[in-house]
Amino acid sequence: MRLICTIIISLLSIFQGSPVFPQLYQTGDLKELFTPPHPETGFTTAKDNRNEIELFLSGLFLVYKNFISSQDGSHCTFSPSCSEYCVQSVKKNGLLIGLADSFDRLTRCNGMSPEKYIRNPETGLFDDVPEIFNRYIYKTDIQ
Amino acid sequence: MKLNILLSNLFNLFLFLALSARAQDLVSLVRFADSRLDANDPDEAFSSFNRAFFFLEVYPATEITKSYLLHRMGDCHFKTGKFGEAIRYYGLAVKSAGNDTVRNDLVLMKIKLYLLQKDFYFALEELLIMDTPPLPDQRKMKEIFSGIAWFGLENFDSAGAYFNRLAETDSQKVLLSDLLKRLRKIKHPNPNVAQILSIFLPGLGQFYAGDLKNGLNSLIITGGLFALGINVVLNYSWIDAILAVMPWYQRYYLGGVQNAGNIARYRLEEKRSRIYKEIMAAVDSKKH
Repeated sequence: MRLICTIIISLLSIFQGSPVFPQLYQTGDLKELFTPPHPETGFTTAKDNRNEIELFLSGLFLVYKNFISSQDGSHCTFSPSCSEYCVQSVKKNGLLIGLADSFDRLTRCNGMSPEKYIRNPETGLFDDVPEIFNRYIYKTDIQ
Repeated sequence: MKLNILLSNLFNLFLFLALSARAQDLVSLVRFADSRLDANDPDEAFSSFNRAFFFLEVYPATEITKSYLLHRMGDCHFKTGKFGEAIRYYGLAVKSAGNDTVRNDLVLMKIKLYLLQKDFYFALEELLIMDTPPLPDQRKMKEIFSGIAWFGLENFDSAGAYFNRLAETDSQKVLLSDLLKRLRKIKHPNPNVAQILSIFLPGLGQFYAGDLKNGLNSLIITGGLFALGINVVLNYSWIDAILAVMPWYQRYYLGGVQNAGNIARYRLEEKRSRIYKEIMAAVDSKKH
């Protein structure tokens, strides 16, 4: 009788012990929990240059980001930052329109700008990505 | 007459088929949702579980419970990375869980998600409320999660006490106590000290934190701007220096102070995370 009871109880405990969540008992995802995010060093904006102007501008951007902007607190209102925006806009619109667009962005980079932007909940900054302009300086829908 | 009988039989047949046929029953719907979740399609799986949950009230099925559907909906959110929503569904599933094993698993899953979200206080609250689970695996997970929660709150003595309980062999005990001793000793670089040093001399905090490149960079920029300010004062006037150079100087001076604290914090966290990974490896070595 005792033996039967023991077998029944152990069978029950085996049945009860089957995990509801297999992912609960894996601690792999908790191992990187306290690893601090590495400070940004490689900027994707400076990659994929198609001509010498873009290469030169990307070089200036990297020097500015690594030696000047890195010593400063975070002050830009937007994401991407004004320097990244400049490189992206020149790559999309060419040197002249891209630079004009970047100067326009600099005039908007303050808390009193009348334009309305969507705030990114992750970064806490306003989203403002450079758009493509056609040769009459109108914004186009083509990205 | 024969035609009448034939028509009446046909009518009865259609009536029988219409009354007995069902498009999809609850069990097959849940099975379909399970298969979608297994096939890594959590959005489709969630909508199917949600539909099954709605119809469970109307067509109760003995094989399907509310708790099961809620926990599977939580799984869908977990797979899409919406941890907050997953916690909400697991919490609802806990209330209608059929037995203690399932209830404890659900609570532990909630705690794990709080930890992944770095909500250490919420995780600790759940851990302190939770009873000691009867299954050894669940007990072990509770100890691990308690250790991690205290670690996240930088209370290393309490974290150490929980991690120590997980040691099963003598070698594990020695290894864990050694790691915890090393962890308690990590106090350098102190972010506050780094910031204060940078207030006295720009770049000094970065040197203290061991970042020579950034220290030198900060020293050169702020030094250069200071020299420019002096030059403007000598050649023009105080007002010119305050208007033209001061805004730039304060920007890089304060940025340097802030950076010194951030660099020291990063170095400190990096050292702690290295020890944490070793602790987790030691704790995991005997598991499964």
